[in-house]
This record gives sequence, structure tokens and C-alpha cells, in this order.
Amino acid sequence: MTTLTPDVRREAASQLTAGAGGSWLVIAGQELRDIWLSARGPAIVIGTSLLLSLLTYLAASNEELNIIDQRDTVNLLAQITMALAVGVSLLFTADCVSGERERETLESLLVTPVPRGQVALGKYLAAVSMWPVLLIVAIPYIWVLREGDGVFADAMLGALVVGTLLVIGFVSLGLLVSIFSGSNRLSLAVAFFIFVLLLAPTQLPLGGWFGDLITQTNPMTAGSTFLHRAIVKEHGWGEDLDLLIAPAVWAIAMTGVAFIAAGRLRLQGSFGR
Amino acid sequence: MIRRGGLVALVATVALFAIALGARRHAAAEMNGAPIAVGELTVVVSKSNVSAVTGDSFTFTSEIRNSGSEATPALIANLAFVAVDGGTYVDPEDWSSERTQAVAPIATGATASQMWTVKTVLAGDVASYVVVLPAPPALVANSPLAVSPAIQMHVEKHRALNPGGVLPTVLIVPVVLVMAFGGMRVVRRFV
Repeated sequence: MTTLTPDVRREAASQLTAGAGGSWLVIAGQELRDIWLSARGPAIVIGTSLLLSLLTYLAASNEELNIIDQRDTVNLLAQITMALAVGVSLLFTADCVSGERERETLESLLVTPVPRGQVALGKYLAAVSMWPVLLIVAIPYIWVLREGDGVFADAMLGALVVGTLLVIGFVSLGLLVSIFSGSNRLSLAVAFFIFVLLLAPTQLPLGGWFGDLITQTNPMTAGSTFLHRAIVKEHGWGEDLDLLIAPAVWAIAMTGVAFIAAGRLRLQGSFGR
Repeated sequence: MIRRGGLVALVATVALFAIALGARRHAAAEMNGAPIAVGELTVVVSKSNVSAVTGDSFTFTSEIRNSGSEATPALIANLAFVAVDGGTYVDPEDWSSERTQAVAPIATGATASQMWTVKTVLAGDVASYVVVLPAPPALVANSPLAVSPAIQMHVEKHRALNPGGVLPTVLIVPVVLVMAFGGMRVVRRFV
């Protein structure tokens, strides 16, 4: 994601030598500064707020959209925020190792006395930070569009749970792809392709046993369906808990695999050299 | 898509045919039985004219009175919409999310009330009325229907700069974010 400065490497090395065991904190701090104190993070957040402003105004003023139930509009905003956060976080981690590799800074990072898992953890946490910020940005829009009891709470709580699981899973996917990719271009393309592949079924009318299978097993469709039922259909959380299985399994499995792979991080990527 | 449409049409035709057959058989049975009391029903509504703008909602009540000599069977009350200006496209589902209500049997001389909510989604002249018919199994092919007087709605297009009060939010949030991130950069430059 970024090139660690010699100061950071020295700081991490000194913390490890001192037995602090918090090198990942140093790396996460540097990565967070790189995202939020540069133009990248703020530009994404401001762009998201402009998009949500446009959608909110259209939903409130447009005659055709006016027909849509208020709960549907709130659901739309929550899902768009979630999809944006997943996509952006994924692209951040898809760049984090292959980017260093391409900029020829990975070698110096690997010789730093910081365990590779902690390097990955620092970058991982920095990428995940995009999600809570975007969710906070969405709060005023969902609040102003809410109508009826419990819509706001349903939307925020649903988005928090589903979004967190999806972001964790996709950030891990980006990290995994980045670890094995020899070039940044390949890493970004593969990660984005998988994201679109899993996102596309949420826009399809899924029916029959095959549709049910996709809904239950694809983390994106399962999460999206759960959110739709919680916000629009006013289902209780207990009614559709089975829909959270796929996002939860996705998050746990991808995180596990990504950190196992991160422990064996090599200077050269396996593909696309 | 076409194949699915054809299948749906076929299923619908078979279902309609079966319903028609069942209804005819039931009608024949009813010919010898007691007549259904729906013809003795009167339906009134609490509004007659409504002027609104698009996006407005209003409620009204309908009251079904049984002036017959015996109790009615269970009834179904349905809210219907029709464009009376000839040009407005009316999809009833958009105008009211709950358009059918079950009504329990009404005793002689008694009344039953229903509340309806209407959302005026498009500009134009639209009439709305409540139709009452017997619920199955009393429903037969030639069951008389009871209909309320029509509520005439004149809906004007709503043009507002601040629809639903969202304008402050959609303007302030991006501005606050720009100022916050811009302020951070300025502070960093001087610290």
C-alpha cells in the first residue's frame, strides 16, 4: 500500500528488539497516516458523501423514485455504502504487497525484523479503517430518509454486522491475491474481478433451488438478502440468521488463509512476474 | 423470459378455467339456497374530494352497513383506483400498499369500518372507490357487488427545492467533510 519510511522500519525494529511485540501497530499507524493524511482516504469519503447526497435528493424529489417505499430507499443507501466500502478496502489491500513488490520496496520491508504476519496485520487494519468511516458518513442520510419505527436502527445495525463481515472477508481476499501476484496490475484486476463476480448475483432475480443455493452460499447475496429482509421486510434478526452464515464463514476462512499465506510471504510473487 | 411468460400465461389460464368451473358449480348450488346478502349492503366513504400534491399521503375510512334482514357472510373490501383524466398511468399498488381488507360477517343493521391510506404518487385526476364482495365460499359468479361513491383526487405536481427536508443534509455533509479534511491538511502544514 505504501512504502515504509526508514524511520518506521527503525521504530518497528526497535520495538521488536525491546520485546514490545507491537510492530503491527507501527505499521498500521504508518498505513493509516498514508490513507487518511494523504488525499486518498479523504477523496474517497468526500466522493461517497457526494454520491449519497445525490441519491438521497433523487429519492426524495424524483417522482418515479418517490413511488419506492421509504424502507427500500434506506436499504438502497445502506447497500451502496456497504458495497463501496467493500470495494475500496479490497483495492487497498490488493495493492499492499504487490505494490511494494512493484516499487521494489518489499525487499527492504522483508529484511526488517518484523514478523511477516505482523506486516500483513498492520496493512490489513489500515484497509479495514475505511469501513467505519464510510458507515459514519452514511448515518445522516439514512437518518433523514427514515420513516416509521425502527427503520434507522434496523438499517444501521444490519449494515454494521453484514458490512463488517463482508469487509473483513474481502480485505483478506485482497491481501491473499496481493501476496501471490507478481504485479500490481494483476493483483488489482484479479481482486476486482472476484468482487464483481460475487456482487453481480445481487442484481439478478434469483429463484428456484439454484437461486437459493447462490443466495445462501455467496457472501454478497446472502448479506444483501439479509439486509433487505431486516430493513424492507421488517423481519426479526432471528428469522434470517442462516443468511449470516456465508458472510461469517467467508470472513473467517479468508482471514485464516490470508494470514497463513502472509506468514510465508516471499520477495517474488507466484504469478504474473 | 418469453418462455417463462408463456408458462405463467398457461398456468394462469388453467387456474382461471378451474376457478370458473368451480364458481359455476357453486352458483348452481346457491340458486337453491339462501340469497347472499351483499346486495343489501351500502358502502360510504369519509371523503369525497381530495386536493393534494405528489408525495402526499392521506387516510379515509369506509363504512359498510348491512341493511338486509340477515347477517352477511365474511366479506372482502377492496380499494380501487382509476384515472379519470384519461392520461394518468395508475398502478394501484403504488397508490396504496394495503388495498384489500377482510371484513368479518356483519349482523343485521350493523356496520363495519375500514381505514385506508392513499399516497398520491403521480399528478393527474384519479378516482378511488371501495368495492365489497363476499369472501369465498359465498363468492359466486353472479355475486352482487357493493360499491362506495368515488373519491375524486386532484393531484398537482410537487416541485420543491427541499423535498422531504433532505436539502440541508445533502448539502451540509459533503461541505463539513471537505472542511474537516481540508482543515486537517492546513493544521498539518503549520504544525
